Amino acid sequence: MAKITVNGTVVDAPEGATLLDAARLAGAEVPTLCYLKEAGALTSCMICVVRDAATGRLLPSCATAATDGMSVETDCAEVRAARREVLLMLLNEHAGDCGAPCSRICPAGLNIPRMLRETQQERRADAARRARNDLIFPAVLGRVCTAPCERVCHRGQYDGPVGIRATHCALAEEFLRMAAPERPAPSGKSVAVVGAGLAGLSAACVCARLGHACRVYEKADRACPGLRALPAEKLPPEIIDAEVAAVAALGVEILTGNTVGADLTLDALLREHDAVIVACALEHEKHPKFFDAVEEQLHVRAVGSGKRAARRADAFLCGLPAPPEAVFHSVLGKLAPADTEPFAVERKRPPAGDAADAARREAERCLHCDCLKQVSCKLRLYAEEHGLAPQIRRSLPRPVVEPAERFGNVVFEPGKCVKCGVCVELTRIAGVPAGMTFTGRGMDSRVRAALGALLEAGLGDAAAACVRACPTAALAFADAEETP
Amino acid sequence: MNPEFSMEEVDQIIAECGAGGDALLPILHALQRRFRYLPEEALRRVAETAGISAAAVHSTATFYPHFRLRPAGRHIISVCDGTACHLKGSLAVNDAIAEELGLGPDEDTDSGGLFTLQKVRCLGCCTLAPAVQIGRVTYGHVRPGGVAAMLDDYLAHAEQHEQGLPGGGAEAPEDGPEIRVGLGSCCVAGGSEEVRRALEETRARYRINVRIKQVGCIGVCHLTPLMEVVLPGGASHTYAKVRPEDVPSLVLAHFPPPRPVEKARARVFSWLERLYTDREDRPLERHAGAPGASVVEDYVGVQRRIATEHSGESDPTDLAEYIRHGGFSALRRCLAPLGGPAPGAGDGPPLDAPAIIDEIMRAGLRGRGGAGFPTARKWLEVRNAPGGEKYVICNGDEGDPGAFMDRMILESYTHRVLEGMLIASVAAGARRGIFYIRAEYPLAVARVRAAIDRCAAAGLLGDRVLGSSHAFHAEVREGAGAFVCGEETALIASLEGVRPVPRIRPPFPAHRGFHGMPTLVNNVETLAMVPWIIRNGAGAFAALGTEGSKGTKVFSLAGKIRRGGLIEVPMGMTVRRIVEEVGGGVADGRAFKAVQVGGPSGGCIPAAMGDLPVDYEALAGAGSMMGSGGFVVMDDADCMVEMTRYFLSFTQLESCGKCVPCRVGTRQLLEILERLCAGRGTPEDLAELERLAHAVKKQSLCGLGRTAPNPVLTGLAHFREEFEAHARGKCPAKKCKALLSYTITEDCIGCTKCAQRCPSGAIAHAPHGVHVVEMEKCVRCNACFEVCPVNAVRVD
Repeated sequence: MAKITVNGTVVDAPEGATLLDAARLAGAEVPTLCYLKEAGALTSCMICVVRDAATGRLLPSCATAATDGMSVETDCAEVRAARREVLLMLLNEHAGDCGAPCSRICPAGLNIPRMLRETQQERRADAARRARNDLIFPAVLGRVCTAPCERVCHRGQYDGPVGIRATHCALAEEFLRMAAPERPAPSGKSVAVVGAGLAGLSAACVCARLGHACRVYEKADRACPGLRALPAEKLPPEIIDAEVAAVAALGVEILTGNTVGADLTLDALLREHDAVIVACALEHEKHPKFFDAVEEQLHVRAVGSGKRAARRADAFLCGLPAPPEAVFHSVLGKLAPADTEPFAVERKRPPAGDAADAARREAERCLHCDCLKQVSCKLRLYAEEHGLAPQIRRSLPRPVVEPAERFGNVVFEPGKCVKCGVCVELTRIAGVPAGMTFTGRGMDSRVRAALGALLEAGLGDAAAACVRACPTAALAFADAEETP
Repeated sequence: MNPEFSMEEVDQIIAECGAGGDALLPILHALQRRFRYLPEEALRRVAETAGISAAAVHSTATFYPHFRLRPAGRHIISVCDGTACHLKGSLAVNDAIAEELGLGPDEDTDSGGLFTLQKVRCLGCCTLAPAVQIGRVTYGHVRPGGVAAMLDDYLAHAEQHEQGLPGGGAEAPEDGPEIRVGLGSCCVAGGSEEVRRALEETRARYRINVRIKQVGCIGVCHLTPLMEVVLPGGASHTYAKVRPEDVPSLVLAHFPPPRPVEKARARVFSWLERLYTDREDRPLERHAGAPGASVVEDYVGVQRRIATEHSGESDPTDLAEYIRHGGFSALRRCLAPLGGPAPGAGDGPPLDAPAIIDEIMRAGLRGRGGAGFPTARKWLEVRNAPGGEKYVICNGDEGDPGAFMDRMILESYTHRVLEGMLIASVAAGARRGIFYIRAEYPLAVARVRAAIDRCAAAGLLGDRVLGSSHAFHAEVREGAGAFVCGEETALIASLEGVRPVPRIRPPFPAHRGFHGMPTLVNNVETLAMVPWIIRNGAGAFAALGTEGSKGTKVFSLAGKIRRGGLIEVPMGMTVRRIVEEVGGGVADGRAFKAVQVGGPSGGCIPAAMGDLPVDYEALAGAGSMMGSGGFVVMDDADCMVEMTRYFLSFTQLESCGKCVPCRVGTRQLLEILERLCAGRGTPEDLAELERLAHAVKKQSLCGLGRTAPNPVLTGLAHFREEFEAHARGKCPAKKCKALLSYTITEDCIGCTKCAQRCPSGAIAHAPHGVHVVEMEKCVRCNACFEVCPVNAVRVD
């Protein structure tokens, strides 16, 4: 038994315990990437460092024996700075996207790869529901959006981008009058939205989905007056009407011909509602209950702005801190000509089935750039926790893209490997004949199946255990669908 | 183009080397010697039949730069890119050889499969920089213009070169006249082997009765090959930079031919000899003229020899001579029955293990491998550690570019190191010893192997060492060119045949080492100090040096120095005295700028800190470290940013890649330094450089990563203005090509020489007018500056 002081709290660490064990006994969170109990301490990631109070040294807690009388800090400024440094280093050698570039750039945050996969799998209603859920106006945007998603599509550098806008347009029109989703239990809070443009209605829609009573005030006599100014052959009014009706079907009350500032004052709205979302060009003083959404010129941005304002208002109503403006993303960036082939050729799937179906054919062209472990990836999780900028500034050129390898349901993406050695240890312990191994050294070291064996032989019986233990998406199940 | 592959031979090699992890490195060495690379089917066979996992075989074979996975040409050309060679233009030599062989950008082997070109980190022949090794032959002072001649020379003598290394000593009367020739690697590279042959020919031709004796390193490597004539009565004459063709006249001057016939023949012969051998463009730089013994005396005067005792006078392959010089008397004392009489005349009383450890403790001996851990404490730890089998490992994996003392000590004082290891084994209770020596040091490997055989035959090794109950067996294992294997836990992993990456300590090897057993890992030089201490007493050793650093330290003195070589000085001598009194000051009349101590993991010490005493504490205090003892001098033409970039390029390449801070952090540091040297730096880069350097130093797992940022941090501390200048796009030393701009002043006389020499057409022909350099086209080759007869070309 050793008495260890962890952040000022004394714990009794059992015989043979490490500092990591002691920290966990004390309830301190210590991040680990390469540590796995059954594999033993590998001390490769060095993210689990804690500060030894006596010497000021940073010690890898997973491999340092807890000796009686030690005092460590697990979350002081120096330790956090050290971990940030390690994370930045790992992200510098990371070649992979967290979210697919199309989704990441979409201001409304449509989960495009997932929508395309559903389309491809003949789950068109699910795909349409996703488009409606994320875009709120998928049919409208299907006709007026400038489609920034297609500009960043990695396939664009290979043989032209996937027709994303056309896909959600076709899906939305096919399911234009689908039933509204079930309403959640009322929260008892009410929200006023000023302005029934795309931003205002999007904000109202999100609030309603979260159970808040929602009333929209619009000075024009119909919702979406801006959109109605567009030529009808470009955007038929019945499409606008159908998607506005879908918002109203959630219980959103849209009061047209009501000019806030003239017919009724903001003060009156404040008295009547728990939060006010201002989605028009209305001057107002700062107030904790006011949330701004901007009716941007770019329609999809207006939707995004409304959705974000609604989430801020919701957090306020629930007494939670404001949600982050942007989440962390590792970004592969534009593919160099040399990267395009290894990236695209391996990922593209041969078209299957009914070639007459245009939407499905297009969906099949998706390269599925989104990470299979968007939620469970520890690298991303720690990057968020340690306050890294949503997109790091690289200090090294991004590593070249190496083709993925797959067998059965398992995918190995070398560019996402942090060289922690967990799979090497697990295959060794399991006695897999070929086994996974390190090759080369330094920055050129890689993990792969030994002596030219295939991935299947390298992982052997330990495959599932390795996928589960892999701290990133270097090893993942191909059918994983993690919802960010 | 490669020897034909045969699985039977693979099986035979496996059968000879044995099975299990311990055999992996020897098997890989043997396979590569046989096939000149490691064929994948051979590796698979090893994994199938030698009881070693496929993962271990693969990760080991791909880890070491020494092993090739692609077929190689008949002869391997290794261009040294160690610190000293780098300073003296090894890259230009490399490029010249590539051009001579007609190699494309990604090729390393010529189309005929004759030569394979590779860069190696250090051949340990720093005083002969730039050095090139072909097969087992080392060429020194290679110039880009001389590479064709070098290749011709090698091919002409290839068979003779590869026949074998000089091994056994000459049997001749012990008294009487003798001629000594240095046969350390530097000397051999400098041509001493040819000198020895010429001596033997001369002796035979004129029937002169003189003993020719090969001696170990004298340490005066800048004057190789050296030849010393010792006359009856002890008078001696030393000749430096001797050429084979000079040998007959030098010998005949001291030993006149006995009969008139031979006299006449001698006159005619020496005239003919000159006529035929005086050819131009020799690949080896050799100077006639002998500066004489006084130069050697100056050089050696302020030194104090303990590890290198009897330097230049003893034959490293002559066991009897070593014993005559008091060799193995220390071991005898350590094995004699306690309480009994002194084992030999002049020996002290017998010592048991605790007494040996106490003696070493009182001597204050600290590890010479770098960290300076008290040697006696390590011995005691191993002695007290529970465990059946204990091991002693001699760490001879000297990988620092710019250091060669371990090689020299192993080559020249082989028996002394072996005696040190034997004494350590008695103290620590070990029964097996392993010499881990770089494969790049073939002579050291051969000499130690021969010495082990010799000592075994003489009863100095075996089940009953010197008739005592102490059993000790030693063997040699070759490394494979990985710097990180100098770290003791990586070294042990390397011996065990697993991927040689360091692990966290504790547990220290003293408790859990080779095969989990208590293992003593000592550096070559440390062991070489031990016999002297036992013979002369702890007091004599402790009388030398400073408060915390006792005794002497061996350094490889190299770089921009007049007299480079292997030196041994008392601890605490100042940097300035080493540079000026031992090294004779900076060469070519330039100014002493800084010295890099401790290799790439050390730091630079500026000339302004020349009064710094060289000992463990003072060096650490200055942000440098003793390291293994590289001492590379830089002058005012050297750019500190470029040197820092070079050191980081070394550590970055040698990082094993296990822990993130070292693997990625060293690359990030290098990237910034490359930007600065290429003129793409920004002032923010300096802040990032400093932040990252501290992070890598503090967060890396082992000593390699923890010391790799030292050049950056000391560079920023002492030469910050140079870094700042680079961030502004200027290189004050005018070394970083990308930052130079060339202009031609009004002094131009319009001779057009610069325009004619310009390789990129950046200077238009303007006869009688003032020429102009177009910087967009300029490749900064400096040709215009060199050719201008009126110094009208300005470089900024």
